[in-house]
Amino acid sequence: MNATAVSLRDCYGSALPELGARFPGIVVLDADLSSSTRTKGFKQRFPDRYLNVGIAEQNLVGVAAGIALAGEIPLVNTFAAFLTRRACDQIAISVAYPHLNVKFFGFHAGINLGEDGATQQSVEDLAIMRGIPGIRVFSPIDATDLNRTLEEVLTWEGPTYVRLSRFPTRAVSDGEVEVGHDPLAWKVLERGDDLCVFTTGTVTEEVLRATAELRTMGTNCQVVAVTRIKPLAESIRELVTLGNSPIAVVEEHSVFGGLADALAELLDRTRLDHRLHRIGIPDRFGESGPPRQLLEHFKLSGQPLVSELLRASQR
Amino acid sequence: MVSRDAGTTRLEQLSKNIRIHILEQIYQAGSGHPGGSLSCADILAALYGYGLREGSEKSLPIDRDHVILSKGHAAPALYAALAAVDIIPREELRTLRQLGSRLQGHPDRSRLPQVEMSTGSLGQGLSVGVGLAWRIKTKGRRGRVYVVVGDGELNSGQVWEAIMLAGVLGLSNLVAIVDANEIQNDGPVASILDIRPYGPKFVAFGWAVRELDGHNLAELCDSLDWSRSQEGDAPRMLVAHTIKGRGVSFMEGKAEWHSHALSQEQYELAMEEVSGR
Repeated sequence: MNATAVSLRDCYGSALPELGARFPGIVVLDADLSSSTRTKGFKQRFPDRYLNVGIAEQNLVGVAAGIALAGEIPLVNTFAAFLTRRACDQIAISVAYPHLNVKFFGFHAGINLGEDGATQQSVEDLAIMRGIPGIRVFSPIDATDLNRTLEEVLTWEGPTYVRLSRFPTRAVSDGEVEVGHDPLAWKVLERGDDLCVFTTGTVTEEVLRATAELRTMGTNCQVVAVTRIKPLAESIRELVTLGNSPIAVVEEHSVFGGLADALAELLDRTRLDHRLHRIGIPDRFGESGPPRQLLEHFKLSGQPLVSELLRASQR
Repeated sequence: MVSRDAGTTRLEQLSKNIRIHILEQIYQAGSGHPGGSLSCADILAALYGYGLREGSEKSLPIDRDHVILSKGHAAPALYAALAAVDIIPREELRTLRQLGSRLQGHPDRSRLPQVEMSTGSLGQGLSVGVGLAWRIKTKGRRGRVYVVVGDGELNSGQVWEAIMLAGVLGLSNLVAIVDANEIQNDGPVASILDIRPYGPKFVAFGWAVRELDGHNLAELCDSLDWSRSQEGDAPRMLVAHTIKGRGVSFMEGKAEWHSHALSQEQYELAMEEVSGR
C-alpha cells in the first residue's frame, strides 16, 4: 500500500480541468455543494461550461438531460444522498429512460462523512442506481482506479453513476496486484485459500488492513475488488467456482441492493451453493460519529472487521 | 415563412387533422387522455405548422428549434401533430399503446426519436428545456426551445426550480407554453392547488408573460411571433387559456375525460363534431 492518502473527491477535482480540455463536450453542474465536489478548478478554466443550479437536485438532473440533448456531456455533482434519493425519478425518467449521456457523481457516499449523520450519508445509493435500467454503476477503490473509471465513463455513451467517498484513502490497486483483463471488472489484490473477500469502494483499504492482520493469525484471504458494479462481469463466476473457500462481501453500503446482492444475482445462476457472509450496513440508517469510529461501529474497519472475516472463514 | 392569411386556413386544417388523429388513436387503443390532448391540439398545430423555423432534422441540436411536451399524457396530440406534418407515418397512429409500438402511452424518445424528450412523469420537461436552451444560448446559436406544460403540472415543485433558474440565466430562447385547461386528474385546478393568476408569479421570477386564447390560431401565431421578437433576456411564458376536451361538446370542461376510453357511439359522435367544424 502506498503511504499517501488522498480523497477521491480531490483526485476527481484535480482531474477535471484536464478532462475538460480533452473532452470539449464536458459541462460541469453543481447544486450548491461545489466546495465539497471540488469543481473550482474546472469552473475557473471553463466558466462557460459550468453551472451551479442552486439547492435544486430535481432541476439539476433535468438540466443535465437538456445539456445531453444539446449533444454535450454533463457531469452532475452532488452528495450521493441528495442525488439518488431526492432526484431518483428524474434520473430514471429524464435520463435513463431516454438513455441520455449524463454522468452522475455521488459524493460522500457511505457513512464516512461521519459527524454530519444519516441525512447526508448514503447507504442505499448503489441499490437505487443499480435498480434503474441502463445505468452503469462504478465504485472506485482508489485514485488510480478512479482515473480508469473516468476514462470508461467519458468514452462510453450513456448514463453512468460513480460513487465517491470523502475519507482519504491510500493507493491499493497498484503494488502486488493481479489485474484482470478488465481492471474495473475485478482485481485480485491478495491471494489466499481460507476465505474469498469481495469488496468495493474505498473501504477496500480497511479490508486489506484486516486481511493483513488475519494473515499473521494464519488465515489467508483472497481479496477481490469490484469497481464496475453494474453490469457485473460474468467472469467473476469463474473466480468463485475455482476455489471452495467461503465468501464474504464487505461494502460501505446497506447489505441490501449493493455489491452483495449483485454477486448473489450472478452466483444464483451458477447452481452452486454459495452462501455470502454480508458485512455492511444492516437495515438501518447511519448516524453521527468520527468516520473511523463509525466504520468500526458498523464492523467495516479495525478489530470488528477482523472478527467478522474470521467468523466468515470458519463457516 | 408562411404568409399569415393563407397560413391560418392551413393551420385550421392542421388542427382539425390533429383532433381527428387524437380521437382515432384513443378509440383504437381503448385508453388514453383525450381531454388534455384536445386542449393542446391548437398549440401543437401553431408550433408544428407555424412556430418551428430554425434548422431541420439534419441540423445539430443547437442549430434547430425544439418542442418538449412536458405534459406527456397528451402524447396522442403529439403523435397526431407529427403525423399531420408527415414526420411519422399516419398508419403508425393505429399502434398507439400496443405491445411493441413506438407510440408508447407517454412519449419515449428511445423508441421514437422524432419526439424530442421522453416525458410522462409530470414536472420534468421544463428543466430539460432549460438545460438545452442554456447551452444553445451560451454557444450563441439560434435554436429555440418550446416546452408545453399543463396547468395542473404547475403543482410540481421542480417546475418552479426550472422557472427560477431560467429567469436568472436570462434564457430568451426558451418559450414555455402553459396549456391552462383548468382541469387536472382529480378535478378543477381551482379546487386542488389554486395558484392563479399565474402571470404575476412568472413575472416575479423574471419571465416575460403573455396571456392568450389557446384555441385562437391567429392569436397563437401572434404570440409565437412576440416570443421571437421580444427584446431582452427574459424567458418567454405564454399562458394559453384552453378548454379541456376542446372540440367535442360532451368532453369539454369535464374532468372525467382527463383519462377515458371512447365507446363506439361516443367515437362516432366525437368524430362528427371535430370533422364538421
